[in-house]
Amino acid sequence: MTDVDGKIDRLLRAAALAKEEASLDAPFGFDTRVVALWRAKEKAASLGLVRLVRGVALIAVAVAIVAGAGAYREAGQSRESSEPVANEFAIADSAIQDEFLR
Amino acid sequence: MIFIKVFQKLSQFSGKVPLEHWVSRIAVNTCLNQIEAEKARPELRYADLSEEEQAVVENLATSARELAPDERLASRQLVEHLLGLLKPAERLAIDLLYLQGRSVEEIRKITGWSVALIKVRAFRARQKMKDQLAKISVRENL
Repeated sequence: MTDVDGKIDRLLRAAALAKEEASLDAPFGFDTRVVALWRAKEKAASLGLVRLVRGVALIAVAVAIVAGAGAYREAGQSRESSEPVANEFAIADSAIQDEFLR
Repeated sequence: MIFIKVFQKLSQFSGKVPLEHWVSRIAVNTCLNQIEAEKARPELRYADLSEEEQAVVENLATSARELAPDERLASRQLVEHLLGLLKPAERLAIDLLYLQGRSVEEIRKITGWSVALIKVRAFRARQKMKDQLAKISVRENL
């Protein structure tokens, strides 16, 4: 083994030991910063979408209330209009029964 | 370097693709750029080394003893510089064989290279590193 062989062997041995000691983490908390920045950006980007969804939901609720009120009113009106008919049926029914009893 | 680039370019992230894909794309591009930069400058000079690395070179030239624990990090950096002058396959051979301490059989399984090819690549890579180290030492009369 020549002198240079010995040098390179010692250098590689020392480097191999240093590799075990070296940390694999990114310096200065870069990974945390990158993820935090990404999350903040994602939140800002999704804010517009959230507002839109909220607006749509409010409009949908308002439409549902109006439609419900309308349906209730309609049902009330039809009930009122069907009551005289029901009375007529009752009168006719009692007249038929009277007729049979005689 | 990759984390710094990710940090700098985060405003360009559109969110159309998963973050992992975007980061891996940056990593690949950074590595390709680094390889191009290494091709443009295939020689290591004594002046390129840090003070600690220069001290390691001097120590290797003047002493036959093992390097001290506090010189390991500089040794590692010096080896990284030397590896930067090698072809990717040779670099891998040195990394697996000497730095990770894997056996030839393990390297054969990892890389799919034949045993002879592993030995040839490791030998050539070692030879290039030796030549480069000798050049640095000679230039500085060490």
